[in-house]
Amino acid sequence: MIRNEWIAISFLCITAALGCGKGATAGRDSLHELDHVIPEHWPSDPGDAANKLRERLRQLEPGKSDQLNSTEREILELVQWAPEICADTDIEEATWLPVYEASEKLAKRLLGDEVVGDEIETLCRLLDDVQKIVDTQEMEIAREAEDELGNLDASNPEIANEEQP
Amino acid sequence: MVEIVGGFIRAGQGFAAAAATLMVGLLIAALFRYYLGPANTKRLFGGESLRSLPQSWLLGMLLPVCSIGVIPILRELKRIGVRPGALTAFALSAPLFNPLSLLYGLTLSRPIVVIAFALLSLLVVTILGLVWDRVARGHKAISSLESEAEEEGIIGIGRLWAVALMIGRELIGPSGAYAVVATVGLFVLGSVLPHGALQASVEQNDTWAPATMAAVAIPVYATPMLTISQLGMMFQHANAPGAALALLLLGTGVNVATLVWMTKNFGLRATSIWFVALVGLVLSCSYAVNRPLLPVGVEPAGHTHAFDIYTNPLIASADLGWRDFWSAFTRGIGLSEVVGLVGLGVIGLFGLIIRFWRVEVPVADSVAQVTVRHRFDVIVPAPVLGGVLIVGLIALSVVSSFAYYPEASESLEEIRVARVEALTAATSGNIDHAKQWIEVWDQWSRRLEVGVFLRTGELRPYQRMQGYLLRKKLESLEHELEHDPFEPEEVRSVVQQLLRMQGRYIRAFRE
Repeated sequence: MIRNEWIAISFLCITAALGCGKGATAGRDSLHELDHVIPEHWPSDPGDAANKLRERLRQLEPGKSDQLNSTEREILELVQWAPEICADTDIEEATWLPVYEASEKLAKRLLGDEVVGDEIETLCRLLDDVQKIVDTQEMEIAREAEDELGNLDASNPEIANEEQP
Repeated sequence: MVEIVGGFIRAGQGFAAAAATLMVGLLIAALFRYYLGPANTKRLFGGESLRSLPQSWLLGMLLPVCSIGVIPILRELKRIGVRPGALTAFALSAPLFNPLSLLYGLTLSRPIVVIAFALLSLLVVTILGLVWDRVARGHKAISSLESEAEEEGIIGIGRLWAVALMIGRELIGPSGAYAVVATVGLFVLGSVLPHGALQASVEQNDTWAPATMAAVAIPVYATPMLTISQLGMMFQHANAPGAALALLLLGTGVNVATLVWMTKNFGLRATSIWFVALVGLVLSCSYAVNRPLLPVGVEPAGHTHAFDIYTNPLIASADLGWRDFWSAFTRGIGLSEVVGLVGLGVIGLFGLIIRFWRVEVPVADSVAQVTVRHRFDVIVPAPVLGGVLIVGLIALSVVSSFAYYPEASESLEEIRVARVEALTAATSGNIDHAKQWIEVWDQWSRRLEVGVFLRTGELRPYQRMQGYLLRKKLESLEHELEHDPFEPEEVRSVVQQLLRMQGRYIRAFRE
């Protein structure tokens, strides 16, 4: 019986060694080369996502592109990424939710090969709205920072004097 | 030398991880013997009826044991003659999930995956159980009727003492030996696979990913919590879902000791048939779900760190000082492992003493001999006590979920501590400290989500998305920290992103 056990263990060891043959040569000291690859069409913000979607929609028009498959795939990816791009801004949950719902619904229909040009445009408009809110928020932050800097300067006579000619 | 030392570190970490669930397994085995008794235990596993396979599967899902902790229970079930199919259904399903890990699965990008995996495991154990019933028919129970009657007759303090003796004897005996055997697989993998060797083995476009994972998973020993966190990482990286299923069923469900135990009890031929059927079923299911369960909207990362834990923890060019060894070993040891090891140490010492002094189970006082002195001095039947203890254990396992996944405010406080530690260490270039706290931060973010779900009954899409974003940024930070030479500007950029999102993250879970 002991012999049988050793046969079983040896079998497992061989299975493990064979199964990992490819990886066994892949040992590394640094993980430098393992950064996440960011796709070229990854949008920088919601507005960029809307622009990229519209651009690809135009490419889908007959005679505009000879790479329909890759364009369709990119449209699907942009639709699926939209909630993540918007969630990475400071918009309220209530503003984010319509984008999420539209993206979920649209992605399902795109996967079912349905024609949904109008709905993509609706999503684009939602993304534009989000971008407007983000721009307003950023302008407010910049104005507040400027005000704070101004107050700081005013309360510091040395800086105030330096600035005068 | 680095290979051998790395293998020992992985085996030691595996044993430490198993300590707590091994104790639970020993306790359950003793409860079956001295409280439930053979007849009730068989009934608990569905007897000879058709429902015995799903019933054993369900019982396995509820009891908090791992593939090492299940071995003393299997030994006891075999001893009393539980149907072989039910035995294998329990052996496979008990380590897969427990209430804690099942809840953790909710933090996956698609929680439906966990439910799908659980149902697929039911399918696998049912088919395998039917095969096993056919193959292993004729293997009889080991125990004699006299000893069964004797065990059922022990009551009171004598029964508690008998339970303690059985637990001690099993640990310093067959079950302890099987636990050591189980870690052999980790030793082999840790020795053979260089540091980080499995990082690109399970990509979604790799046809061989489920098969590769199946081959690696067979010698692996993994606790349910470890596997579910690995599943989380796999789905975050958009790795092959089929590989994730193979890891769950083969990595968590079986280990080297399971196979050795089966070979010893049922013979090499029967075990080989069982094993081939198991691998065949797992691979079929894995390839069947590989495409349908692909995570949507997640960009494949091209690698994963989820399986670094099965490769050598030391890099080939590492200095091999005592401090490096200790640092690599303790990196995988948390509070629960320490508590488990201390508990196991105490039981082990007790086991050594009783084995050395040859302490035997006390002679049974038969129920008829016990004098009832008061009206309320009732002799509670052993099966009632056993039933209460088993149900209590399941209830404890469910209740402990609330402790493990606390209220949002508590988790957010832990996240605050982890954030300060991780970001301070990252910006000052203290890489090891930063990486340690990034992991703590990641874990607490998942516990926060489960805690919210447990208490409110839902996890809003916005909350789920914020958790996903946080973990994605944490991983980016981890990668930036791994750059050699250290790039402070890159690190600072990710730190700023994390600081920017903290307000909305807290808001998402407080509101």
